[in-house]
Amino acid sequence: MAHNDTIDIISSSPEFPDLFAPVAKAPPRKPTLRTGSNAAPIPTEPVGFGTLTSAASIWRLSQVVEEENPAQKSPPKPTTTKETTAIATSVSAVTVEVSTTTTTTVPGDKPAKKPRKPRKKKDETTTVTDENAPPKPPARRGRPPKQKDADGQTALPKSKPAAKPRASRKKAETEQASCRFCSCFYGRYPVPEEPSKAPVAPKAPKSAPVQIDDEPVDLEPADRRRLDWTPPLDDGPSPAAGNSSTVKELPSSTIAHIEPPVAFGKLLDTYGCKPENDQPSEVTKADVLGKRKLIEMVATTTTTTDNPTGPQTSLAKAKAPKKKPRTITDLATAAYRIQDPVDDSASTVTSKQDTLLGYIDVEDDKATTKPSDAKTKAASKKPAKPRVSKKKPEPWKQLLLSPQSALRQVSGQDFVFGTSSQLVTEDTDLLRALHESMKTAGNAPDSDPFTSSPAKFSNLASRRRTGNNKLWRVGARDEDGDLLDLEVFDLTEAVDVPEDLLQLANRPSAGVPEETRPGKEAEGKTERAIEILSSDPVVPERPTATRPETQITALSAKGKELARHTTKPPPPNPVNTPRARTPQWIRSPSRESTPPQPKVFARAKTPPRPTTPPRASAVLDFDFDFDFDDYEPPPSNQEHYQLLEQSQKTASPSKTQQQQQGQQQKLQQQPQPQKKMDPRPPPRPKYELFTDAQLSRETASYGFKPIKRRAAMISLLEKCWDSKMGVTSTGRGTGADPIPASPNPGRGQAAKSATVLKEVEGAGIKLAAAPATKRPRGRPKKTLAPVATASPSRSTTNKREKAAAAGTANQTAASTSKTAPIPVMSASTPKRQRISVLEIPDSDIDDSDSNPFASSPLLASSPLLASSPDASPSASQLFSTPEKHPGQDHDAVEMSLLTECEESLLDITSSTSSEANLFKHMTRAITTAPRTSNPAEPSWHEMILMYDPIILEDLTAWLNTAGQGLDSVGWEGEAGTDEVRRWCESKGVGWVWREGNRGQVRKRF
Amino acid sequence: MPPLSKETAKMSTNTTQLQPKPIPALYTVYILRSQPRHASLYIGSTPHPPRRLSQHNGLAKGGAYRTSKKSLRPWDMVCLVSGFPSMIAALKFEWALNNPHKSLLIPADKRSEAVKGLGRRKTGHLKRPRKSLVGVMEALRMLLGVKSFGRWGLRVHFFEEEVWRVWERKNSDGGLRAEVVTDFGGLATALQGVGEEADGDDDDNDDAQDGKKHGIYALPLDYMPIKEYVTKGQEIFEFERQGGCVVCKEAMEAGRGLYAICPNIGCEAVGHIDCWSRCLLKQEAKRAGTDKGDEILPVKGECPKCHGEVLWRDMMKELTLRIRGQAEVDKLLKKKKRARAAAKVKAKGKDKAIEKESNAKRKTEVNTTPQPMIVEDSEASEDSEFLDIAHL
Repeated sequence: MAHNDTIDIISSSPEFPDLFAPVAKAPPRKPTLRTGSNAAPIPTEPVGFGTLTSAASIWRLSQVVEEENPAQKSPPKPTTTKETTAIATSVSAVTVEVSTTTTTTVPGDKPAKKPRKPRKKKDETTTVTDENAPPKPPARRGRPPKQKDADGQTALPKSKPAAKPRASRKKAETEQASCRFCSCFYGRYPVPEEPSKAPVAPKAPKSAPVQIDDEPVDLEPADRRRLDWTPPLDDGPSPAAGNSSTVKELPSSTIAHIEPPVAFGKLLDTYGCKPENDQPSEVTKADVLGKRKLIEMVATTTTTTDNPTGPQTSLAKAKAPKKKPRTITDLATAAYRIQDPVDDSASTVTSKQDTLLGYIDVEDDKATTKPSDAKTKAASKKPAKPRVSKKKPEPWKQLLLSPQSALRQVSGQDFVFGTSSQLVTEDTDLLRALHESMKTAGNAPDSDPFTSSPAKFSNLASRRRTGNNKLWRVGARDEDGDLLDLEVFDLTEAVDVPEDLLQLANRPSAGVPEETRPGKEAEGKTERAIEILSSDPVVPERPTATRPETQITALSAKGKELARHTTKPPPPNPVNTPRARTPQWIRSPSRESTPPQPKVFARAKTPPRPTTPPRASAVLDFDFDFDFDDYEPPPSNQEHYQLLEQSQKTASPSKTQQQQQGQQQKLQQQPQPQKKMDPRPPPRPKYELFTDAQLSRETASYGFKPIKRRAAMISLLEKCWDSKMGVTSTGRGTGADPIPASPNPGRGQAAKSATVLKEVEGAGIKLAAAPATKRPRGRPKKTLAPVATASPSRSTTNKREKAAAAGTANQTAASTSKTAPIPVMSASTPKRQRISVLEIPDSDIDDSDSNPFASSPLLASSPLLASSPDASPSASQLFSTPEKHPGQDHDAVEMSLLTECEESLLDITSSTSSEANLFKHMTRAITTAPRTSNPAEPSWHEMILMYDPIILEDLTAWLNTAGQGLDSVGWEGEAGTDEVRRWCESKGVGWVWREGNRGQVRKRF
Repeated sequence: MPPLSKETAKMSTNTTQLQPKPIPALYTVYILRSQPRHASLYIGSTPHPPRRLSQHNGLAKGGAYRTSKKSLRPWDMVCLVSGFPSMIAALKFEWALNNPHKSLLIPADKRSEAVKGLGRRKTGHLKRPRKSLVGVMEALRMLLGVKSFGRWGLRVHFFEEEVWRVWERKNSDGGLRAEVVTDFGGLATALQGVGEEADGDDDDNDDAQDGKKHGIYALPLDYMPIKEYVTKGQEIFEFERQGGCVVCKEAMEAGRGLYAICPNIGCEAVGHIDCWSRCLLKQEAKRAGTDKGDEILPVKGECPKCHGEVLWRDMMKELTLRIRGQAEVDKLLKKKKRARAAAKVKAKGKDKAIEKESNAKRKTEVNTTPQPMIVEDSEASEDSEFLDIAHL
């Protein structure tokens, strides 16, 4: 074959004249190209060769060159010195470029390709020249496009020293501009005189033989490449374009090889790698080719056996990608593919089967996916079937299902949602378990995850817990990194609890993420705590066991109402809605006994839920679940839901209801008795007996500005007290707080919590909570204003609850927890509150009455209810409650509503004679204080005289200290920081708050 | 009441005193005006105006974002208030000047006026009014008359005649307790370089020929002006010459109290600072013709011994320097010994007085109404204050 081909080529020389003419034309144009510029060549040449296709042009050019070369320069081949080779390469490059220019299709694309070719050619040519007769190789080589690359590289070392590669590189660099080559070429050799003809002329004499070899090779490969790109068409066009017989033969050969396989196989093959198919033909053609093929084959597979197995190999290649799923989706879906088993089992299966299978699979997949999308809801709702397990273990028959059947099947399926990566990585069991759990959670909220989690889930749960909660944990913290203090468990009752129990209780809530400790532990703790509680002597006191129940029911009713209002689509089955559900679980212990399925509340409690998928999937599933199953209220309404839920939870502090069923009653009863035990008797403290300072502090604790008139203060305090008692038993951190016990010691962090503004959407009321312990000062922090998002707060509360539930069952039972979340009035600074109050528009206050919580009978009617777990929502209103009360001191209300500026205006106007009097006394107190004997510790007077910035708090404290300050000058009242500040301003005394605007401690003045 | 006791306990425990620094030699609140665009104003505070100005003009590292626009540079310090007894005091003043609509120090009616047209930000705060020279001057005048700042003995410097005229337009009300100084000499040239001596080509300024510094560059940045005062104090207490209190005649035990010294040269009147203050306040009340007010901070008065005028601020500066700023004192005195700059400094002080007189002469009734200048948007100039703090 090879011989024939070569011969043919030579014989084809008679055709040259046609081609040659253009070539002749071309050279003269080259100079224009060269001289003009790089860009110039394109326009000129198209004139001559515009009609020629690139491949054809290449062919012709190559042929022309060959003809010329062999005729003239066949002898000089021994002169393949570096120079000659270089020349040849240059010439070849030139020719190639010419062809490109002639084609004029796309200058940019082709030049890039061609420069490579010449280089290959050179190498090949060199090798060829060394080994064989020049004429033969070109024809053979022409076919394999890719071979050249390999050949060229390999050949390089052999035939040519270093020089050639350089030349080739240069060419490559100067790809587009033929002129450059010429110029370079000329630069080296003294030919520059004739720019236009030079390229052609030199070729003929010197490099002819070499070029012959090179060029044909080059031309052919170009064709091949195209074939690769467009497999079916390539065969056709190449023969048409190419004059040589070789070209024609190739397609035929390929066809012959390809045809035998089945139709599918063909299709695939056409898209598969062709070169291999071509190779065998080439191999047969020439020995040299065989070697080259060897080289190529090295890259692919065994070279020697290529000839017979050519087609097979191609098939195999086509399969290969299928075998190894490379994309994540492939990985994910691999398990569900029917084909896979087949593939695995019979790797050597004929291409037909594979292709068929593939098609089937595709269809199947489509069928499954489509319905899934459409019916996700329905599918998800249906009880979870072990779909995943099914698929894997039992390979389905590869059957094309009718659309109906497919749909049916799909409908019967349950889906696991998750990213493909999750689907791959996760245990299908886990996912399924998760789904189940979620569904069950929807149905049976009572089930305690800890207690009930079945063995199979348990380790999953543990796994889950470790990884999952990060987001929640983060969400549970405010900007300062403090835990949002939604719940503070009042330790009022804790007083009675033995130390051990306390410790137990504290430990979980100490801020250590619940995840760390296994659920069982917590469980045990809770149990113990509960037992202790039950055995606690205090317990007997609880007379009104039913209270919480009633509250809860009321709450639930409310919740339902809310649900109706809030949720757009009324839940199909009310039971499923969280609100409706929760009450049920509370009411009916029977439900609680229901299976161990982990209960999952949406955002509420990440920690407790044992079987949630790892992070991302968890979230995903979550949403799905809620969208479909729980009818979770839109985010806007979630507050309600959360509040409700929270309250309910507080009612039944520990989720371990299964075990606690018997005890739960007790727990629920607990709050009441403990309330009774509350050291503060229901009768409010006798404010009349308080000192002015105490009163002012009390008012401040409620978030009111200091009030001058004692009577006003008392009345205000009384009202506050009433409202507070009516609403909640405690206000944490308030000076008036009757509860002696400080917040749970373990909860130091919680105590620090920043403010939480709860927005109850329905009512549109913004409730402002100021941090209890830390009173922000100066300009209002911007962080304070934003409403705490429901989810984090919620999560925290739940977390807390869970944590606390274990140990602090009694405490939670005490119902203090609900009170904790109540916005805590900043103890000391009225300023802060003012700011926070700014958020409350007047209209909102009016609306507050319409607020379900506000209007709920719980608040208004029974103080007892106030103490109920429900208190948290209502408690959040504590702040606003004073405004609701008609009898309240108007001053206070007004003040609270004033903007900072307006309020400040009020400041000035409100300075009364009493204040002036106070100021006088303050001045006197300060000036009459004994002067210091230690310069390092000047008296206040001296500090003022020295323009030292006065720390308001300190000065106020000093003024109010018995025996000093105001007391010494006979002023029985006390001064608030605000008064002191005004006094300072009136005196030109530089004053500062102890803390800076941003809460930082001053380090210098 | 457990919470009560707890709170008080906390208070008492937290009364740990920060050791305050001595009264700074200089702390100023300045008003910058863009040279190319006079409508752009900037209010800041600094203990070192030249340095700060160079920062604003990009000649030194630092500065404020608001003054970083190249098209607005260079900036001039057209006005400056000095004499703040502490950084905090200056910052307060600066803030009040930047936020006249919010500052409680400005009378409510005025403030409500200013507040009228203002929108509110999302946070509910009033938007800051746009700065105009007229507005700033008004606010400045108001603040200087306010009780809080009125007793600090502040001094207002004007370095730009145009600005000063705006200030003078409302000179009628006499509540102003601050001292006004004008120095219009060579400001423009001074801007060209930091610390570069302004070449005084101002005809009115006699000091120009002397190569004296003008404008902000003439401000004393250290304790040099009171150096003699300080040395006197050092000597007095080094040799325990304090004797008895000049007011109450009580013997003063060295190191057992805070004793202020009369700043006047040659007068070694020493007394308890409260005695001093009482004495000076009494004089003040007498001057005002009212019975003793309940003021607590004296401004100035007359030394009971030498009957020379004493400025309370100076006295306190020396006192705090003595009791708190030993390092500064050492530095100051060392300098003196080394270089004979003392005389020079003295001269400088005198020159200042002369200059002031000359400027007073310059006062002319000019009723040109400067167009109200609008600053682009001055909402966020709070940064200045922090920057200034940073540069402390």
